[in-house]
Amino acid sequence: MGKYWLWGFVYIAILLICAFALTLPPVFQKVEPTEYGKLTDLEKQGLRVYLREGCYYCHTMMVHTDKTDAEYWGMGRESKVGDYTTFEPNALGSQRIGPDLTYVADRVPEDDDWWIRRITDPRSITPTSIMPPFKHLSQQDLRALIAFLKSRKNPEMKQVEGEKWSE
Amino acid sequence: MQQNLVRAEGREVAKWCLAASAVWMAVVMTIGFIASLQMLFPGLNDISWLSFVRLRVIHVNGVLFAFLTMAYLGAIYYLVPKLTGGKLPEGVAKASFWLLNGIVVLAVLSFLSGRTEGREYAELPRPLDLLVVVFWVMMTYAAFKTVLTGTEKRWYVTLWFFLQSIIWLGFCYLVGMVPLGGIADSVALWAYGHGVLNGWFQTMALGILYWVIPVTIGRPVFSHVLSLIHFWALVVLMFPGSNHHLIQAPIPEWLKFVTIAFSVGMLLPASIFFTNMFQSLKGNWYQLRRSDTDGLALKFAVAGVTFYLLNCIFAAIQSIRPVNAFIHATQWVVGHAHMAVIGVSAIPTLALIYAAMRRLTGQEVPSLRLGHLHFWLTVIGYIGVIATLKIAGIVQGIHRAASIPFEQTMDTMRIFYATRSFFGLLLVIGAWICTYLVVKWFLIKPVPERVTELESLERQAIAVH
Repeated sequence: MGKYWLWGFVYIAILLICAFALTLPPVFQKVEPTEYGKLTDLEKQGLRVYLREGCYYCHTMMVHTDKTDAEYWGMGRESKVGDYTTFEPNALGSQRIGPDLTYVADRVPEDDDWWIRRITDPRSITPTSIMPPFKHLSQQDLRALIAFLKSRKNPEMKQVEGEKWSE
Repeated sequence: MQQNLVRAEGREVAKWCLAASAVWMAVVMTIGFIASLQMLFPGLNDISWLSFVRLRVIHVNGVLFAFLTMAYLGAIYYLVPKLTGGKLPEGVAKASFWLLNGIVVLAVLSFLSGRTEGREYAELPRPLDLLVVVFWVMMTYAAFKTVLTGTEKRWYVTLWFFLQSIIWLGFCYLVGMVPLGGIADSVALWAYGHGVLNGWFQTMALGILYWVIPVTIGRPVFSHVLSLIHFWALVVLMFPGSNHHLIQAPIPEWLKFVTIAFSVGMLLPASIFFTNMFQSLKGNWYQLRRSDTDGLALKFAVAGVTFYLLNCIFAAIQSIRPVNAFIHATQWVVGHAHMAVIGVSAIPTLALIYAAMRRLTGQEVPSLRLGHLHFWLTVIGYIGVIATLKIAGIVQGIHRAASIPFEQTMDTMRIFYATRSFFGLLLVIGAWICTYLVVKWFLIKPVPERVTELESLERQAIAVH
């Protein structure tokens, strides 16, 4: 019997070493948030609504680091570690049933009415959309969610626009 | 004689677990089918309690915890006493079964009302997380208490797999429960999200296959030593591969390297397993033609081994960087999730349900014809679902590489969603047939003499040489 317990301990030790070696360094890695990664309190609340309502099942919030998104789809700047420092928990998503939302605010109208309609009755704006209508959201939740989504802008894009303005 | 009396305690709980598992299987698969219809007919989403996001959570967690974990619990309570000759603490075992059912009901209610943690695969709200930990402690206590009172000097490989899975489940669950901030959260989440698939849903199924195939063909595995090499290679290689979900995320480059190397390295234990299994089946393929309950269980088990081979090859290929960049965040990923969970975990579990229910009740399957119908519906539905989703993923990848706008991709996907729902329906019909058979089986009066007889026949097939 003793031999088996010894093996058991060896095994648990291997397991823990692997776990620590792989999980903990990124945990302790302190990265300054980028401009994209700075969330206000209202936006943080919006992120929680985003996660609670399961938006991340169909939308990613990440531009691939392996070029496909940035080069072929012209999605813009690749995601960086600092983009997510203030995201608790993360909202990367794993699946694009709907479009990516990393820089969603760059490509849609600014007014709140448009946003409210797009979220509570998606097919009134995009007839072919298969998104569920989020009619049950409270005013407060909706306001926070819209604030969060409206802040999802490509920080590099803004600079380019600024240059254009100065010309 | 004494030992048979001792082992009889585990049988009752195991029977309950397997029956409950079959019922939950049909329910959660039906929910998955409805969720797939919602992608075709968005009007079905109008009631917020039954919208896609909520049904999807119930489907994923239901399949993993209500169907598979419930059946695995039955497997542990049935096989651990059998393989060690130990005494199962019956009260704790029964309590853990009811606790797991309670957790499932509470989880369904909380998901329907929209209470989730908002982390994929770790959606259970905090109080339920704590109940899962209590459940895990009870299950671990019951299993290890049995091992400690055991008389068997040499452990069969199934036991190794079961015990490591039990330890691993608790470890992974604790890692996944704690929400962190930023990218570290993703790393920890996928250490759980994939770790639990590797170390609980996969390894339990492997342990089950190592039991089902020898006892149904009536011969021991080709090499027990080889199966132990498989076991150790797997436990050493399995954890670091977990983060291959994040190859496209901004995690450190060295972590990507490690995760890809270990994901491809998983081909090593997999090939040892196939060598062992196909060598065991060599000269026994004619047994697939048998028309009895064990023949049916063997069909499921052999399908499980074959799909596992397919799954391992796909898994290794898709973690390589250029391939991963092509298929990441497409329908391919959904296809792979179904490929793994149905092919690697669910089909061996169905083999277990048929093989174990026969040995638990001493009765043959209520209708062999329906059993075979279940098998073919499952296999055709499974291949249909994964083929559709993988082709959809490739199409989506091509669209991305060709700079086609996303709106157009979404329209193209409709035909794939429809095909997927059709094949999904076959799986669901199969699941209800299985539930009908198992519930009927459960209600038939057992034949104790036959149970003892079958047990003595089984002993030589799982003896350790």
